[in-house]
Amino acid sequence: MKWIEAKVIFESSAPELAADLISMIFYEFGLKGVSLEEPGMNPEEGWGDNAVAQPAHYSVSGFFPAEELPDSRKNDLMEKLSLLEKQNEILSKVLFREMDEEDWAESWKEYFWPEKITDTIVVKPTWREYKSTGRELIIEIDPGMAFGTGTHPTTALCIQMIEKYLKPGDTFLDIGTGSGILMVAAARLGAKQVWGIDNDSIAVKIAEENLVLNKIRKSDFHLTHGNLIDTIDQPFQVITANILSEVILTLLNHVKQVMKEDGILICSGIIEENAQTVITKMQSIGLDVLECREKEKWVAIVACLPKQHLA
Amino acid sequence: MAKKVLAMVKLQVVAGKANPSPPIGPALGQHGVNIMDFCKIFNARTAKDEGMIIPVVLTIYQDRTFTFITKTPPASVLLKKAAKIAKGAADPKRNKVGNVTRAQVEEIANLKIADLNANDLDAACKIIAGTARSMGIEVSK
Repeated sequence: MKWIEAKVIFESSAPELAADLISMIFYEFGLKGVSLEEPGMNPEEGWGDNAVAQPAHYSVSGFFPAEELPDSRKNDLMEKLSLLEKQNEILSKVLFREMDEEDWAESWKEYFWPEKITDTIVVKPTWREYKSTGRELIIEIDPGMAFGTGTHPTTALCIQMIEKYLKPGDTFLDIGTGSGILMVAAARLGAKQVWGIDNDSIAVKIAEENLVLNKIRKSDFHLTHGNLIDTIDQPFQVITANILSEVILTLLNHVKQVMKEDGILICSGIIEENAQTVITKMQSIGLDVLECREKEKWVAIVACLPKQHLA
Repeated sequence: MAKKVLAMVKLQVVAGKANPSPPIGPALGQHGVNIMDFCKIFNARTAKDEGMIIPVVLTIYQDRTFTFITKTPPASVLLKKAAKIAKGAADPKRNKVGNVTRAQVEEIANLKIADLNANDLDAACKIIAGTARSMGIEVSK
């Protein structure tokens, strides 16, 4: 897919206002975001030796799928800009540049390396080589457009907790599985059946690719497309939910339906300031909170469904 | 020693809806930032304002880690919301598309004052009222 960047370089005595009015033109064309440049930005920490060059001008860029920016629309954009020049003294010019989607979807991969998540687990991107130094367990992953590279604190915390709480032979469910990395980790740590659900059908496909890539047998995993647990009809011994706090709070209303007696629930993706709300909610539905672990302002909370709460 | 900075990136993105397509993909990919990680954290932090356009400034360090701050939505977005209109005027001098009260301007100025280059509320109100006029929104007394 091709995209066109329309970069509006401008001069104005009130650059904040000008940037706002130019952005508004893009929003009225239906765009959902813009990128901006501003000369003279200065981080507190100081620039590094290899810092990128600072922009010389103010600019606002909007990005259009190539087929959605015919010449008529380009003219429309330039007309609106000339009106801003007349009425608001914002001088501007537009530069159009065509770009390939590949360029940026792939570029960050250059900086993603194998990483040791626990003493025994290493997450390795498919495009890297890694020499195992003994009894390490290697998880191969290509996250594509799904979430979960394994090195993000929320995912790393989940893997650490699965390693600690999952017993060989346990059944396992991952709610919001993304790249499927937690399913792979659970299977490699000895789970008997690993299930995953995601509300994004692309994620379900990517998760399957990652499970197959890690040689998990098709008969040992099950993936389903759905919201939270609405397509899950059986209880599990270990459940992970590495999603946002707000979604976890909703999930907690129903999660007991899919937890086994003494079952473990690992919730991650919780920002520090929301941790107490999640803990309070867990306690209010009768779960025992076993452990909270924090990493870089993210918190994972582990809870257990005590026997007496089962009907 | 503190980490040194590789790049600073300014974006405006819809709260709770960040994804790897533009403008996020090209802006972050070129500096080696893991795009999905940014999207997940941004969406977590802005979930409560879902649907609003949020300015965000990222600081990207030499080791490709990043931090970011979010700001209040652009004045034009807040004004359209206050005036209950979808679009500004095509020709704001001749054509008025809506109006806001002085109190609404003050409310927006109060919200934006930290991000505006204004010394006091009065100066902030003037900037907001100026933006409104540029959009064809009248400010009633």
